[in-house]
Amino acid sequence: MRSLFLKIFFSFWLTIVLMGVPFYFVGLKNRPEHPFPSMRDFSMQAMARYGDEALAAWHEGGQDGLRAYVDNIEQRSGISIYLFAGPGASLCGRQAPAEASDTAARIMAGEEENHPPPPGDRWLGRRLAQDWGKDGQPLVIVLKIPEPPRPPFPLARHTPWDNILLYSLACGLVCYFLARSLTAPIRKLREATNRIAGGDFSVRVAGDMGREGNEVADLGRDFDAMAERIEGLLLAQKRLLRDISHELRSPLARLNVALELARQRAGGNAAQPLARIEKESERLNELIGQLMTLTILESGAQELERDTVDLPELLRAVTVDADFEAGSRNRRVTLAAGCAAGAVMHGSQELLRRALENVIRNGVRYTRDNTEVEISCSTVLEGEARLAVIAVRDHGPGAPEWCLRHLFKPFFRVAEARDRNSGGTGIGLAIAERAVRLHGGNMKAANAEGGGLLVIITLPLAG
Amino acid sequence: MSRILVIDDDTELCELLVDYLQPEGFAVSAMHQAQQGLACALSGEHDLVVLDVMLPGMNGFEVLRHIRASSAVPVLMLTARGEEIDRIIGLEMGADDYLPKPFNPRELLARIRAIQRRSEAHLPEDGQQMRAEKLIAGDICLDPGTRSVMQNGGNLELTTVEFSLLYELLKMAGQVVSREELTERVLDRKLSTFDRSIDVHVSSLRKKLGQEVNGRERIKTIRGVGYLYAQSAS
Repeated sequence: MRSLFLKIFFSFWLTIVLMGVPFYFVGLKNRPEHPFPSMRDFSMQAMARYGDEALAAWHEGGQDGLRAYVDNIEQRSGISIYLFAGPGASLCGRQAPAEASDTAARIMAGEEENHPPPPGDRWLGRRLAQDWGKDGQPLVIVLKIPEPPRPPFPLARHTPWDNILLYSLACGLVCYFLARSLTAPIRKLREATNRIAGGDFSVRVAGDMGREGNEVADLGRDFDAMAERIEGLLLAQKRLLRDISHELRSPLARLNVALELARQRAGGNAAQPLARIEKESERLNELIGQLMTLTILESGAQELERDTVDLPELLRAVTVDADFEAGSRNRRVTLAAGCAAGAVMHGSQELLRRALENVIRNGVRYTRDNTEVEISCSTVLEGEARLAVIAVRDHGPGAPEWCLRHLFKPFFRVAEARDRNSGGTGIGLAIAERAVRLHGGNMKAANAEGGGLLVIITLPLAG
Repeated sequence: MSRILVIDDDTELCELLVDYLQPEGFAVSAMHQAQQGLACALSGEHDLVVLDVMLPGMNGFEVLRHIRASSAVPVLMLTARGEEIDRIIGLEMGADDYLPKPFNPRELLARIRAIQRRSEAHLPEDGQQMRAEKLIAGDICLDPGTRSVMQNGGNLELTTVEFSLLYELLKMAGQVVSREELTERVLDRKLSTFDRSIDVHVSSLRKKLGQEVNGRERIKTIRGVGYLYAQSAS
């Protein structure tokens, strides 16, 4: 029972039921057998009066008179009256029901005084005289009270167990709504938190959380304040990034034009330093671009485009480009034949391309002259999921074991081997790793057998 | 002498561009405000407009939309680097080409010259054989002489890029033209990886001409190769 809802629901419900049921039984047990003594007196008096009247009728009209009286009473109030003088001797002259004569017999035996009939018994009786008539028989009146009207609602008609069941169900209903009203805001908060984690910062909850003063509603308001702050910060960050990019690149744009002007005017004299300035300016531009990409990727605020990306085709295109670039440095980039065909995934073509390009370029940078950067791609099944495994291997110095897991940190450099002269910006692999992770994949580095760095990228495929 | 209008809020960059482009034979005027730039672009005094996307007051795309509403003057957009979506939007809205900022000025020069060649290429004085043959395919009639395109007798407004693209496709109607060829002939540059410009131009051409002709796809995409204009039934 991990869910808070179930916890609250069952604990409240059980508490109420476990307390209520014993009380119900205790109450049932202690109920006075004749709840209203005055009622008993009243019924005794009423019977005495009925008895007097019946006797009077009997004296007046004999058996017929008594019957007329009895019929009259029965018609008016539904009460049947029987008079007995001695066991089984009904004065009405007709056969009395067995219950009537039984009750009369019990009263004549004197039982009624000690054991008054249980409440609800419809047969009542009382002794009117001990020695009556010529034979000196006891005279007893027995009344049959008409069936009481049925209670309007069914609860009262049922046995205690039915009542307990009904009671439990009613409590359960109340507890259910209580537990729901307590946990519903929490569930809403959770949904909202999930949406924020997914990058939707516009979500607000206060409207659904109830009125002010309620602790959960206050929590909701605080949550909204937090969400608003995060949204503001992210917006500010996005704007800042845009501004930085613009502000840093405007001077670069001017620099480039000024550089060309200088080239036009200086003739061949300054060609070399000018070429160097151009190269550094390009590097700076590249670095700005990469830094921005990394910042956006790190913040996770990027809405991932969902193109359909054909991985083998993408790899081929990137390989051709990289091979062309590497050719000028006597290095080659090759894509293994039989590269998994039809490996299609959903994601951002641009980001994936950049990720692959960065990894391959890194390989080109470190592989020795006249060697190849080897790329292969295959698909594997892992449970239900189809994965693409892309391996990029260079023939360079590799990296010491201890720093393999730091390779994807921004600006991390292996001091001696991967120095600044190699020309990278230092965040290419970091970008690649984050881009791959954003697509639900992962990236690992290892030293290949026989030297060189091996980078393995695993990406989930569509379908 | 070509007259170029640069619309960019970076005044210093504009000054440098004026200095750089003048010796190359261009008369450059610069505007730093979107509104003024737009008015200037619509005055018809310029052969080409270089338009920055990030402009104060009005977005560069807005300016482009206003220009395209009444003018076919070639437009080269300067986009923010890394904003691929900007390029596509620009091309879809009828820009002739784009260049990410910061750009290499030599690249800018090459692009400007390419656009220039394109708009002059089909002019009557350029070559007789072009003037001679009108290209007719299905409901389309392209006249290189007058640089006009008629569809079912009605005149069709195309940008210079779209015109060149349609010209190349119609010339080879019924045959596949590769993306490389199209990029080289229409945009006057080598096709590089992930250069989707030609596809965007094809798609806007499709929109203007209609997707189908005689119940067949008008411009068919041949995956991994290029495009094919449907052979006319006649």
